Amino acid sequence: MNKLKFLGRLITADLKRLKNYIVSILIAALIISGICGFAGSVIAKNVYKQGTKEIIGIGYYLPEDGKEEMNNMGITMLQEMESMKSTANLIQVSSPEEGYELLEKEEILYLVIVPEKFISSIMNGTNTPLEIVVWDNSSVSSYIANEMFISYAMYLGLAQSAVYSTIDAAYAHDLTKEERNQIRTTVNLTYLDRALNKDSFFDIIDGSNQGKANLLQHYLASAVMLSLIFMSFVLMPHLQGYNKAMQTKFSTMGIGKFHMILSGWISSLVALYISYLLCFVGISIITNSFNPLGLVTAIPSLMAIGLIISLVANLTGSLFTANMTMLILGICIAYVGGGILPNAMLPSIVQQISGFMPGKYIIANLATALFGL
Amino acid sequence: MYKLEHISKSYGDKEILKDISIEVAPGEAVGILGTNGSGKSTLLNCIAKLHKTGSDTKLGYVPQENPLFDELKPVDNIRMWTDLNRSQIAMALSIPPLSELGISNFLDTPVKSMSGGMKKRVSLASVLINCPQILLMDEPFAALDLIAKQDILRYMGAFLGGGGSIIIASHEEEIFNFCNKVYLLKDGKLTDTNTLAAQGISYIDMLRS
Repeated sequence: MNKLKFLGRLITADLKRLKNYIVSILIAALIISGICGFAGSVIAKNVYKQGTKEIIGIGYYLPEDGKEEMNNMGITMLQEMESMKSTANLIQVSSPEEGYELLEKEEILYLVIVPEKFISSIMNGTNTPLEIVVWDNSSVSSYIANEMFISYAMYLGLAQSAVYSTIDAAYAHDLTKEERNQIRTTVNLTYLDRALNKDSFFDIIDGSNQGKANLLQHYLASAVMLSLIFMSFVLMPHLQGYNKAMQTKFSTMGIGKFHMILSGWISSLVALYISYLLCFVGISIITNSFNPLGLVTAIPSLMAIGLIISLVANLTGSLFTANMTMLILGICIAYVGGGILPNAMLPSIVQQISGFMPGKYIIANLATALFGL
Repeated sequence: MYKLEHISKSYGDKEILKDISIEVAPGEAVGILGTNGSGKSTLLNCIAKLHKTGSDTKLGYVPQENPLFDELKPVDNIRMWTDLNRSQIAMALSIPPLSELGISNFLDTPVKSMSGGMKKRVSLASVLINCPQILLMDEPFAALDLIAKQDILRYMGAFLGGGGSIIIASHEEEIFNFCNKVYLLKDGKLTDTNTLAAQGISYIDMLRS
């Protein structure tokens, strides 16, 4: 009998055998993809706390310099700003020492020590600097705070220039002292508010549909990948269904491991496509969007996963070894591919390796297929 | 006469078969006697692999473990090993000599629900459907009841009567009473036991010596 013909019969027989596993595949796909999808959306919500904000504590010390009314007015203006309300809780301390204690207890993240006659110094252009104390000056948050305070100072500087320009114009028009003071106050309040309340200048635009997956899409694609990899637990008995006698007879026909892996790959591909369809339909319903191309464009990922499963099935000895191998491989592929933690949070050596591993590309391909990116 | 010469096989440093030659005439049954682990199955595997596919002499190999997919029906299992289609298979199994196997009424019964004897018959059928001239059988009576053994023996007799040859590896005495020649496989070498058997030495004593 011709070797190629026999290989064709082997593939046909394997596909016929797969019929016995369809129900198991569907049930397993529902359960595994449900668990992985839930885990994916939980990770998306909690890793970057997407959609949530944490209000930080900022302590401040105001000096007793006879300018309490002006200082309090400045603080009140800050507290009234929308951007400040949603990000920070301003806590007044009676002394710098009290502020240091709160820093140590981590009740506040930053302590702002306002120097004497600070607001007057802004008004008259001498600009006495604020002292900003952070407990840990080596963390990402202190770096961000540093940049934030510098940007605020720059905006204040801009506002100050605008105010002085207005006042110079008032002098040039020979206005009275009362008129000039009124203009000065109005302009100060207007420009300070505009400079510090940056929400009025910017619109926050959702970055999705710019060609890359957002966090939720990324983790759902990763969940689908893991579901497909773990379908191997259902497929292994099928793929390891060649007993020793059968393998001996195969070898008399010139059929070896390569041909068995090939046949297993085709069976796996069919089974994985059925599982993928279930995930595809579920995600299309949940996201209320349907990308018909996704029925085809995911095939490279299914082929990659199917090949891994078939290789492990045919190159390991027992069912237990094969399943354990797939469990470990699946977790490694997902981890290195950025499917569990974001790529940027992985050690640099792992980030370098990820370019040579299939996980990153499978997740990207599945995200494209599922969400039409 | 079917002849294979200079068969050797090693697993790592251990020599299992040492330059073995074997021949069998048409209508002849040759038995290979040996203890567990002596290399009987290895010898049959080697003969099966060394036999050139496409040669004039057709060889059929029936391993000890049934090479069947439990999830499939007998007809689908048999189809893997033959160019015949389903209806041709059903036809061939319903007429002599294959009808003697008695599986034509069970072609659509899943293999997993069959007894050991029926599975052995399906295994035999998958080989005999191609009308081989030589049959290699490895422990054909393993896990079979008395009735199944008798049925298989009867079929083997009919096969020999039709001019076929059989090489059987076994450690069951009733098979060797059936064979024309019996060889003892010990320490990788084949020894003709007919002279010893003619002296009244039993097969058990031959294995022990």
